[in-house]
Amino acid sequence: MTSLAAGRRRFAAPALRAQRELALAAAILAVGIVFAAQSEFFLTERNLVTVLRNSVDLAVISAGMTLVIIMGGIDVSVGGILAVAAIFIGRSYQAGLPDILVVPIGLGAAALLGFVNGMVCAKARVPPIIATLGSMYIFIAVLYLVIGGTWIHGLPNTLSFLIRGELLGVPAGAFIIAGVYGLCWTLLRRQVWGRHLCAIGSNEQSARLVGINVDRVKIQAYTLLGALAGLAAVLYVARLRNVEVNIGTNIALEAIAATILGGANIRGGVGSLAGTLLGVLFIKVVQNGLVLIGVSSLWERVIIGSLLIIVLTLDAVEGRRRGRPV
Amino acid sequence: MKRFKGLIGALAGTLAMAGAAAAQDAPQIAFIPQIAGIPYYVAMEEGANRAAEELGVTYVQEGPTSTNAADQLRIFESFVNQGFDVIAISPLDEESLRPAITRAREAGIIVLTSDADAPNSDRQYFVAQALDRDLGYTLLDEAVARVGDTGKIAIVSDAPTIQSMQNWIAAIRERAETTYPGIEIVSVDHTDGTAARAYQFATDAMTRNPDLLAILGMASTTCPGIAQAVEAADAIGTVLSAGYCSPNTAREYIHSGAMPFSVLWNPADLGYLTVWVGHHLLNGGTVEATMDVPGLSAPATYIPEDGIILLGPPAVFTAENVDDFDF
Repeated sequence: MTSLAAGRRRFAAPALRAQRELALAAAILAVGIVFAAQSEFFLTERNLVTVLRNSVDLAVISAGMTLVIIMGGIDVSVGGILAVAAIFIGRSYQAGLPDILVVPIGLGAAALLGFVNGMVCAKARVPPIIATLGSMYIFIAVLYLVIGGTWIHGLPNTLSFLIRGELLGVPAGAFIIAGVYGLCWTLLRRQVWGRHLCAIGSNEQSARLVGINVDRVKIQAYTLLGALAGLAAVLYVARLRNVEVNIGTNIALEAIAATILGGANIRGGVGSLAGTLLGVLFIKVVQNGLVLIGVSSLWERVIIGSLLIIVLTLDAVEGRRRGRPV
Repeated sequence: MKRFKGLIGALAGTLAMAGAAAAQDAPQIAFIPQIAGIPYYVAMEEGANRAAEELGVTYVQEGPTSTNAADQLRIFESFVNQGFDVIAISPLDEESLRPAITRAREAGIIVLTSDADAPNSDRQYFVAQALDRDLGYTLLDEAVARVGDTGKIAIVSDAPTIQSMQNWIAAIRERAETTYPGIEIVSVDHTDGTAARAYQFATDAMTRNPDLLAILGMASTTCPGIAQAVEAADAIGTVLSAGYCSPNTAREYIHSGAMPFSVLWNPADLGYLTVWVGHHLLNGGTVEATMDVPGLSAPATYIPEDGIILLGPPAVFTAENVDDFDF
């Protein structure tokens, strides 16, 4: 029990976590000031709403990714899950099914793929990065086998209100983000399940010894992430009304980057949903702002990559100082 | 073990069939695409089959199931071993194919490249769909014809590693500099291949340049994204989107008016020309500067310095003709 308590104490070290979120907020502010100074359009309402709309699918996936990374896992296959779910959604639309069936089909297919990832990680004890790398190859192959080099296009726009709509002047995307993060925060901070998740991430062996059903929690976490990737697929199709062969290409890496920037430890045990959301915001603001100030979009990767290295270096230094193995 | 025996049986059957095919009298022409089954190559196959029927030759098309150079080489060698008279290929990797092409030529087989080239190999001719320069010029000419020759244009492309797209961008820039001094290319952005990123770049370009004239997409992967950005910004009629988009990816937006036209070539005509050239060479025909090809609307031209036999000018797909195409 001591190690679990220790894990929770470390996990709850509030000063450190808040520091990271504050630093990230400061970074967003800093790039925001640069962009606003260079472009009169950056701070317009229309542009900021555009940034928000373009962030929704990444934000949704990153919430699930945060839970999985806190648990000490990782899932590099979410882009593949998004792709396969999008195919199910596209094909269902083509078969003439209504939204009320199409959405559950997409979410269900994605949750099932997440469940498979969880089973492989938990029951076969395959390291998650290997297991999900393998499943990513399979999902991408499925994408090619089903739709070949062609696209599913001309899908109906009946769900585009999820992206374009607004309620009381607030864009619909904000409600979706609030809903998903609210759910994940409740699971993580207000449910026993969340404490188990942190315990597994801190020390899986101890978590087993104190009687936590590690396998079940793992499978549930991967299934939840899968379902959220399915939700991202619904939003993607609602926004772009097609399924292309490259769908989901970079989203896994972006989600992992957002989560790590937001303060999660890649070795598990530590993480913050608010930080992750800031990480998503940072990535999307940089993507948007660079185009607005006329800098080549290739610099976006340089900026985010550099920041990731800085963050991970600071983590390692911090870990050594506290005598944690790195 | 049973399955293994079945496999051997199937293999023997294939070989026997191949032997029987080789014994037929009709000349045999093969084409190896970069990947099997995608609509673009299916369209090429349709055109090639039409030519084969009209010219009385046997046409076989077989490609790798993924863009795998080793698989492509294996298929090439199997056609060589089956004694085909003409083998055309859209090479994935020039280096790995070069020795095989040389051996095939030594065995008396006519080897062509089609759709993509291997310029440093021993292939006899490259049957080309369109010159990069013509594609670049046509896209800008068509855009200027619709929105005028003064204003800002943004370009959204796929990965910067795709050489053909870099060539098209260079051609567009060249045309703007030499012919349309009033046109300013304000940005070139590269997506990760997703429609979402193209949408983002197009939206940001419109935000940054409220007086933007047009957004040009360099790849079919960018087309739906840029067209939808124009739709979402309620900018149909003020900002033109266009690009090198297959009719299937552009159709919806060509009809909505967000993307009034798209420039590419007709793969069925390319397939037709490939078979026609193979048949022409087999019968001892010579390659002339311009060659009238019955069955194609424009004559093919020959560019001797590069050994290129060129299909007519690029095709422009508009609301009038886009529904005649399916790729």
